[in-house]
Amino acid sequence: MNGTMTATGGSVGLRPREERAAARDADFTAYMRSRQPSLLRTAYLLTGDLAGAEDLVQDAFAKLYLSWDKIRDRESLDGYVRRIVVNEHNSLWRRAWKRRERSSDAVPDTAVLDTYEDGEARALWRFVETLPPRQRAVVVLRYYEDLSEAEIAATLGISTGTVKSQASRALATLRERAGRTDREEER
Amino acid sequence: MTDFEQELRASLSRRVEGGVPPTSLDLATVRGRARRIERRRHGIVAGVAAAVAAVVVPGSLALAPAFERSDVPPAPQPTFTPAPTPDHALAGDASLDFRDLPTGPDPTIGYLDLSGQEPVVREPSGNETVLELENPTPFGYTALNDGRYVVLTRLDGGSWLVEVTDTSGTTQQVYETTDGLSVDPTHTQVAWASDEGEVMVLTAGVEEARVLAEVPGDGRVDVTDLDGTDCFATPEPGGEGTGCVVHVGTYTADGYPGPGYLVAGQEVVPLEGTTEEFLRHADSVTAGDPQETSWTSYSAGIRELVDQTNPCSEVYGVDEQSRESGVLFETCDHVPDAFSPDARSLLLWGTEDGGAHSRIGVVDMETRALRWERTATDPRMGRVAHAAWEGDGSLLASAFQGGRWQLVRFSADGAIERVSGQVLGDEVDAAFIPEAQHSAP
Repeated sequence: MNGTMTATGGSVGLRPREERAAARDADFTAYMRSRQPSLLRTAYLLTGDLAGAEDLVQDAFAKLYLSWDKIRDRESLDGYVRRIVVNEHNSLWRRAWKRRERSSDAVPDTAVLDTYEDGEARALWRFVETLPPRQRAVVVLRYYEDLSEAEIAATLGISTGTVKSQASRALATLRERAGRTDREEER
Repeated sequence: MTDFEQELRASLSRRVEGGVPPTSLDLATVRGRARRIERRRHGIVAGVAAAVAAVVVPGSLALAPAFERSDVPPAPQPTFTPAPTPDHALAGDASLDFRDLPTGPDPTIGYLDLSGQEPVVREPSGNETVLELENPTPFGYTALNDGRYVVLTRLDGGSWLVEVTDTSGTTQQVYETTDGLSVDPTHTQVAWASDEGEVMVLTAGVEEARVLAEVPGDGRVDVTDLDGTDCFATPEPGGEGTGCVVHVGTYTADGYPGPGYLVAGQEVVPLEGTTEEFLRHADSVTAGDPQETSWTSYSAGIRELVDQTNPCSEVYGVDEQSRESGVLFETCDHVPDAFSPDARSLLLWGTEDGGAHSRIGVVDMETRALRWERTATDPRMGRVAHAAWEGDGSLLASAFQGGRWQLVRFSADGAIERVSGQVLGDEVDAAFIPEAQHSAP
């Protein structure tokens, strides 16, 4: 094994082309059906709106479909498609940021009201929505997907040190916005 | 996990339980989207062809006989007075401000221009090569001395790849890697780590990369430094100029830095317990004749982490005065990157985490003091994404400020000048990347 992937890629099978394509599509469809619900939930936590999440997941599966034959290790598929979703979201966010040049620091005015109307959990979610995209991705992957720091680092393509610092900053921001202090945490 | 983190976890779970209805994508929809993505990718290539044609047509007009052109005499050219060099560009200034820089001579090393629709390598000779890569986003590159380019790219899903092009810039081989790549000072060999812990080496004049050695461990491996011109040479007594030394770092399965190794020839030597046992090795350099007192040998890297995040680094080597080996200096404010080819200077970054750098400096290895340092002390100041030694004293770097990228030169005394135009962009994706002289990204 020399770690090489040829530029042309793809394996050479003995079955007719149509038969291979049908088997490939069946294989892909089965995977997509099994993975779609949880991927959509993650995408929703990243985007905050259902239409955007569905679009993101559709884009991710389309890119996965294009690369399906090149992926040798099927056990790594979950991580692979998750990486597409997270990174595609970041690039979408970057494009939107370039268009609108908006700041993500502003806390929605409704956040405090939500605390009374829908409880602490709802309020906390609104604060998560205000985090910068990378910090939000780290929070979602850590506290919803239950990934380790190393897995988050691999997903986002950053070092584990950056994962730690991003998580730390995100938690500090959330605590501050939620009016919590470290002292309260220690109690 | 603290109570607050438990609440956060519950909040996220509650949100998706109540807010995400089940939907079902079908294969036809996904295939349709996939076709659109493919068309978009191909459309980029077609767009470049159209742009080339658009440039060629006016060029042909210039060759037409004079009487076919307008008889209107050329307008008198306005006389420009060069703008005065702002203080922040001068040596001695410590700010990282790239506004209104004076224009300097063209770079003496190549660089990757990502400001157009296709990546273009621009060589000091004036040659330009459009790269036709498997993956559209390069993050770093170097050139082998046989004319091929070795480019670090990324799949949509995040996997790092090493693409090796032919001399015309078209990818011929693609290799998976876990991290960046290193090149030897003569650009004869490039090394990287495969995702299976193998040290891969590509040699000029040899088509395929070969496995040099396999490094123990079950985590990620990365190559931090490569020296020597023929890793696969058979050692000969008294032979000089052959063989190679590759520094390799490892990570544990949890993602923490693990033991380092030195691959000498095809032998893997653990660095544990040696002076080279850095937590993360950055660069090693030797210069001069080993038989003479002018000989110097330095190694730099992160020695330890303080509070899990803040690194403290050391430079170890032979003291030029006493001729004894030891720690030459240490810093917890900077992270070493690369020595200059003559081993007289060391490029340092600040210890800030993530994104482009807001601090850059150069240490004089003779005095062991900062020769110059520049820092973004104000959010409106600039950032540096990549830097490479252009010669023994100057650095070529990609700089970002105010929504614009440009290629700049830090002279030996820290003065700054620009060597490219400015292009709009975001801070994440550099529009220019200097050719790696040591490692990329």
